[in-house]
Amino acid sequence: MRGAGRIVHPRFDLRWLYGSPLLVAACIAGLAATAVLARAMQALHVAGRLRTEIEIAAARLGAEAAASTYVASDGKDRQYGFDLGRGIAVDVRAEPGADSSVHLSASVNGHRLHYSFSVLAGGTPRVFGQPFTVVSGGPSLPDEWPRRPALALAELPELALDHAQLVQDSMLSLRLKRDPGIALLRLAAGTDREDFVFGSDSAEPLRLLPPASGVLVIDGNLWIDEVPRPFEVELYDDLTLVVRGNVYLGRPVRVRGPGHLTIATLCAGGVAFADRDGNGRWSEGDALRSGERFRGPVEGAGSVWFGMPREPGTALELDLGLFVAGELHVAADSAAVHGPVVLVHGVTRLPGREGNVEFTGLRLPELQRAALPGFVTVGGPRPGLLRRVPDPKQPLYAAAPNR
Amino acid sequence: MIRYGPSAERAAVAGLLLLCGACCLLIAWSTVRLEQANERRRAQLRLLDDLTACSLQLREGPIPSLDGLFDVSIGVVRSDSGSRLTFCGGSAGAVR
Repeated sequence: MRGAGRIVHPRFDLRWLYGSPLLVAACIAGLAATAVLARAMQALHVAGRLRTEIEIAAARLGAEAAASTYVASDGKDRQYGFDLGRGIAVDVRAEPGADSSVHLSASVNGHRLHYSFSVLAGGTPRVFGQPFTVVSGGPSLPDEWPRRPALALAELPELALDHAQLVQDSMLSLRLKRDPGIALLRLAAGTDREDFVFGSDSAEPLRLLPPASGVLVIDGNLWIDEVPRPFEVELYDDLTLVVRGNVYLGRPVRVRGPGHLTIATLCAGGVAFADRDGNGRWSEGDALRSGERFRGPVEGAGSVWFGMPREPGTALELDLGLFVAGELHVAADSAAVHGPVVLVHGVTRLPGREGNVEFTGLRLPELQRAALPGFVTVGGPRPGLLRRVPDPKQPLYAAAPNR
Repeated sequence: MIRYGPSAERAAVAGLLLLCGACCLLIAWSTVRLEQANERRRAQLRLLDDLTACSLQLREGPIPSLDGLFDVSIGVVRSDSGSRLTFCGGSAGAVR
């Protein structure tokens, strides 16, 4: 028989399993090596991701530097390079766009990121960085109100209405419309000026689309009427409403989004007065806030009312800023204002109302890299805040292949 | 006495195991270092994000805690338009 006397040596000896630690050790070493390699791969993956984030951060810093250099050079320098070492080099190209906007394209190691900013003539007046400011020399404020450094009359921010849009009759996009009946409904004698109502009864937030200038002028009184639910708006750009009359705020105003809503009043041919009896019109016992005699519309001008004069006291929470050229009348039991409040004259609390007002400063506008619409800017030209934008040359939808 | 196989073979296997173990230790050590570096970079990126969000209120000067992100350091410069973060040193900021 062929091969009958041969001794077969198996390659794997079963005795190794229990007679030697080598195989067990090899298995353990293999498992350990697998675990170590898996963790190393994960760490390498994280490092790669972080590297991308670092490159994006470098692109943003490069774009910020490029924006400042662009404005400082008056738009002459348009290409910038930053060699940051470690294989990171940022190239930024600036292209002026429509109006005063500038598009920045930053490329770093194969990534291309796009930003835009506006060239601003200056910044927002500093007074809007304070929760509450009152002009010095005016009537004294209630004792329990916060003490704030007073502002000289000459330092008051000026309104710039060159590009402002005048509201003629109504603006459906803003739910702003003329309403001849609102004053007769809320005040015993009505008003002499036109009346405009701002707001919607819908429970859904109203998306406000401000005009390009960001400023709307309302030639009359502005009402945000008393309704059981708050007036909620979505605002992504700043909007300033300049009111040539009084403002009546009857319900809370909530603003969603990064935009700032500011209401500024002007006396505009009227005379500001403190309506001590709260009848909504000039009458005996009221106090004039200027040296001249009373003239103009009976409801006065430039005043802001927290709460409606003839309605029971309510609680208001206002996500807006106020520039009050006349008197601030508090007909609400309590009010919290989150934007900046600038008060030219005094405060009158209506009898029978608690009239507690809190200035939280939770929603103050950006001062240095943004210009609040409708107000004269301060300081020199500067870049506005940088915004990341999608690639303008990339189509929204991929082109379909021909069939 | 050879009971379970040639001693040279066992020695070779043991040597390979030791080598493998040493390599594993080296990789593990490098991984720990890499994870620490990742953690540091993550913290620096978080700090950079926070500082970018409030850069207008920052005090002028370099920010040592951001050293190591790039070969150039990062600092705060002040101007009429407020403070901003920028690269300091090296060839950063060259206008072409």
